[in-house]
Amino acid sequence: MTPAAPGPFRAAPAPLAGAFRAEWTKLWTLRSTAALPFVAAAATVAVSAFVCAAADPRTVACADGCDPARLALSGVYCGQAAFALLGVLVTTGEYRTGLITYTLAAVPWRPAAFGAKAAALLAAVLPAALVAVGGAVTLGRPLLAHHGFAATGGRGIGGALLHLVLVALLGLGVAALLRGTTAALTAVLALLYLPPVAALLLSDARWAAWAPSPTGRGPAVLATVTTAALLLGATRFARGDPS
Amino acid sequence: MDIEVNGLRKRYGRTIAVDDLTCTVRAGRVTGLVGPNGAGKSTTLRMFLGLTRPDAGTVHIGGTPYASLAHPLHTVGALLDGAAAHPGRRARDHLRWLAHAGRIPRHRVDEVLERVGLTAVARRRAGTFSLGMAQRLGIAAALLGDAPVLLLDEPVNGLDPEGVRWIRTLLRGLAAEGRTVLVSSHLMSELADTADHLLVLGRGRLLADTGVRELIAAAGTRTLEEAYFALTAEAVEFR
Amino acid sequence: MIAAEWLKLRTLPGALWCLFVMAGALVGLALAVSSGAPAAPSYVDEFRFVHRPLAGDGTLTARLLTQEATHPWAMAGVMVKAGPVAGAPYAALFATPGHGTRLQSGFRTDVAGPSARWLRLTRAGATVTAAVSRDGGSWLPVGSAPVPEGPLAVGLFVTSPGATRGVPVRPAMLRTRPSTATFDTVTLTEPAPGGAVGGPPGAGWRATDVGARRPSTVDDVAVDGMVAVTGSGDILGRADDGSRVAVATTGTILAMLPAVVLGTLVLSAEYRGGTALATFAACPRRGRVLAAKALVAGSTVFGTAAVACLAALLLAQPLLRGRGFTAPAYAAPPLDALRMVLGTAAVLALLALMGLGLATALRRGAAAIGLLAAALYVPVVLTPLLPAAVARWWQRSGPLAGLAVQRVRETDDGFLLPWPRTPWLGLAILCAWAAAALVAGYATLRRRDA
Repeated sequence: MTPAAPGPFRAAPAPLAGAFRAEWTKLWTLRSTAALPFVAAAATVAVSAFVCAAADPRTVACADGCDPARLALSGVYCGQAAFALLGVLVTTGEYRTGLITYTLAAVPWRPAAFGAKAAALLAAVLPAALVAVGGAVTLGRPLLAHHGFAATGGRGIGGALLHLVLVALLGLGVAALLRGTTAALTAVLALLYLPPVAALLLSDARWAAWAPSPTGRGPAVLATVTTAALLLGATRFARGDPS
Repeated sequence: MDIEVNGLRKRYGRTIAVDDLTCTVRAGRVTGLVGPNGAGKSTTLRMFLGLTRPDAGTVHIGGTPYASLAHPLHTVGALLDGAAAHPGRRARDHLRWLAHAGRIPRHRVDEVLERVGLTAVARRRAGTFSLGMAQRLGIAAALLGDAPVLLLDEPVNGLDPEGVRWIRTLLRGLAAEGRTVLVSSHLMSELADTADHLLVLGRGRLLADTGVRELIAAAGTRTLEEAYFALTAEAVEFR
Repeated sequence: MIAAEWLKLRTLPGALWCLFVMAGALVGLALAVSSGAPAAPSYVDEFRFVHRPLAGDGTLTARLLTQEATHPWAMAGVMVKAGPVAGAPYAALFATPGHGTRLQSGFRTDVAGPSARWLRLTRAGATVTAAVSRDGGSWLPVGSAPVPEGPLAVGLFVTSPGATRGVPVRPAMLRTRPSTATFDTVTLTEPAPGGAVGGPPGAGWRATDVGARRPSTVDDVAVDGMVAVTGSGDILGRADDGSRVAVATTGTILAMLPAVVLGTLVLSAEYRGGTALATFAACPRRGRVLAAKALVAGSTVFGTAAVACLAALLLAQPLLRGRGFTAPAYAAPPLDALRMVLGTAAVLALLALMGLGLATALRRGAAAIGLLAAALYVPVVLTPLLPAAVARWWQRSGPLAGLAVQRVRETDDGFLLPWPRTPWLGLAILCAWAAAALVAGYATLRRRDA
C-alpha cells in the first residue's frame, strides 16, 4: 500500500511566499498584534497634533532655531512605544505558548522562518508608519502655520518613517534574542527612551546627538543598533533550540 | 514512508536525554514510543523534526532529513506540546496560518476541523478551550497536510474516554491507509489496544524494539503492562 | 500570605534583575556625573547685546523702562565688555525681577546696589565705575570693576536664564522664554580729542547674540528714543550650589523603568506561569492578594532604592570634593539629604505600585510597561519643544510630579523647575496616581475570572 498520495496541491506558491502569508495571518488574527498598528499610528498623530496645537514660536527652544518639522513629528516619541511592542509581541507570543515548534516544523529552514516574520512585520508596520507620519504632518502643518511658524516642507519625514520602521524591527530582533516579552520590551524601551533622557540629564548636546531619535544622526544610530539586534536575534533563532 | 533513526544522541549538560538510538519506524502500522517520564520520548520526537539539534546521529524521513524536505507539512504531520495555539487566536485562524505555511489549500482547514469535531467551536479563541478540545485542535493541525508520516506526542492527554476511543480508531485508520504513525505515551495501557509495534525507551536508551505480542512472550507475563514494568523497572528513577 | 508573596518575588529572576538594574542606575549615574572632568568653561555667557565700540574712556547712561519677569535672575541693563564674544571680560550693571540691581564682573564679583531705573557705567582706563539714579539727576555709586585697557564694546544687554539656574545635574526639564526689556534716554559720552562731551548715541550700533550656538549680528541698529531688546541666556560663573546633595539622585529618572517593570512582573509572572489559579485558590479574597503583592513589591523597591541612594550619596561626595567643588553656597541640612534619599526611594516604590496596578487593570504586563514608559519619558523628551505653561502643567499633575521630593533649594528652583510648590505635594500627587492604578486593578480583579 502506498502512503497517502501527495494531494493535488503540489503546485503551490514558492515556499517563502507561504511562510510570509503564514506570518501575515498570525499577525492579524491576534487582537493585540492586530490592534497595535492602529494604536501606534493614532498615538503618533495625537501627540503630534497636541504639540503643534500648543507650540509657541516664542519659546527659547524655538528661538534658537528649533525646527518646526521636529514639532510636527514629535508624536513619534510616543508612537514608537507601540511600534516596539508590536515587534516584540510578534516574536515572544510564539515562545510563550510553544507555537514556535509548529512554526519551525512548517518552515524548517530557519532563516526563511525568521525572514518571513520580519517581512510580515515590515509589511504591517510600513503602512502604519506612513499613516502615522503622514497624519502628523497633515494635521501639524496648518496648526504650526496658525502659530506663525515657517513652512517645513518635507524635511524630517523620511527620518521619522525610517525611525518607526526600525523601532519595530529592533523589537523583533531583541525579542528573538531574549524571548521573554517583559525582558525584550524593557530592553527596547530602555534603548529608545533612556539615551535622550540621559542626554538631558548630563545637559551635554554632544551626547544628545547620539541618542536614537527621528532627527539628525538618530536614524543612523538606530539602524546600527537594529542591525546588530537583528543579527544576534537571527543567530539565536537559527541556531538555538526553540524551547 | 519509513523513518530511519541512526545513532541519535543528545545530552543536556550532564544529563543524557537520548543515548545512541537506532531504529526504524515502518509505514502501515501504529508504532508506540513508550517509556517513563523523562525517558527522552519528547526529545526524540523533537529531533525527528529538527527542533532540537542532535549531538550525534541522523534521522531520515523517507530517506531525507526533515530540514531538507521539500514539503514538510505534506510529509510529516506532528502534534507536539499539545496544540500550542496562542490563547488569543481563534481555532480556525490557528489552522489557517499553518495551511499558509505548508501551502495547503484552504478547504483542508474545514475538513480537519470537521474530522476532529471542532467545527462548532472553530471561531472560539484557543484560550477558552478545555484540555481535550485543545488536544483535538493539535490533532487537527497534525492532520492538516494529509501527510504520510504522523508523529503524535502524548495525543491522549486530556481526552475523555470517548475521545480516547475516537483517537484509537483514528490512528488505526491512518495506519491502515499505509501511513507511518508514531505515537508516544508514558502509559502502556493507552497503547495496548492501538499499537502494533513498540519502541520502549528508558533513560534515553532503547530497551526494546519489538512487536506487542513478542514483548509479552519474551517477558513471560500475561499482560502487556506487566511486561512493560518488568522492562523499565531500572529506568524509572529520575536523574 | 505576605510571606508567600515575598517568596515568589525572591524566586523570580526577572525581579532580581530589575532591582539590580535599578540600584545600578542610581549608583552608577551618580558616580558618572560626580567623577567626570570638571566642565570645560566654568561660566555661562549668553545674552543679547546691543553694542558699539568704545575706543577709550566714556560713559553710557540708560533708563530701563520695562522688564519682563521671566525669571528672578533675568537681567536687563548696561555692559562694558572686551568684545561681543562669550567669555570676554566684562562689567555689567543691571536690574533683575527678583534680586534688585546688581553690578557683576568676571563671572565672580557680584555687588548689590540700590533699586533704581537709571543705570550708568563710566569707563576710565582699566576701571569701570557703576552708578544708579532714581531720577536721572542725583547718582548713587554702586561700585567699580576692572576691565582691560584698549578698545571695548559698550551697550545694552538682556538675559533670561533657563536650565543654567537649576541644579546642574537635574534634567533641563523646562526652559523659560526670552525676556524683553525696553530702554530709553540712551546716551553715550566719549571725551573726543577736541574735548566734546555728551550727545545722542549716534550710529554704528550692532546687535549680537553673544554665546549663541549660531551667533548672529544685526548691523545698524537704531538706538534713539525707546529701544526694545529681547534676549535669552545667562551670565553666570558655575559654582557649587546644592548639586552635591542632588547628585545622589541623578539616576532616578533612569531607575524608573526597572521599578515599573518589577511592579508588572509581580503580577504577570502569575498569569504566565499559571500560578494565578493556585494563588487565588489558596487565597480567594483577591483584594488581599493584590494588597499583599503591593506591600511586598513596594517595600522591596523602597528598601533597595533607599540603600542605593544612600550609597550614591556617600560615594559621590568625596568624588565631588576631589573635583574641586568647595563648601556649598547654601547649607544643606542633613534632614534635606534624608528627605531626598527616602523620598526618591518612595517615588520609585510608588511607580512600582503604579506598574502593578496598571498591569492588573489591563491584565497585560507588556501593555502596562509600554504605557507607563511613554507616560514617564515622553513628557521629558518633549518638554524642550513645548511652551513652558504646557510642559509645567503636565509635569506638575503627572506622575513625574513625585520628583519634587528631591528639591534641595527653596530659592529659584520652584520658579524654574516644573514642580509643585512643596516637595511633599509632589509626592502626594504621585501617591494619588498609584492609588488610582491600584483601585483600577482591584476593580478588574474582582470583576473578571482568574
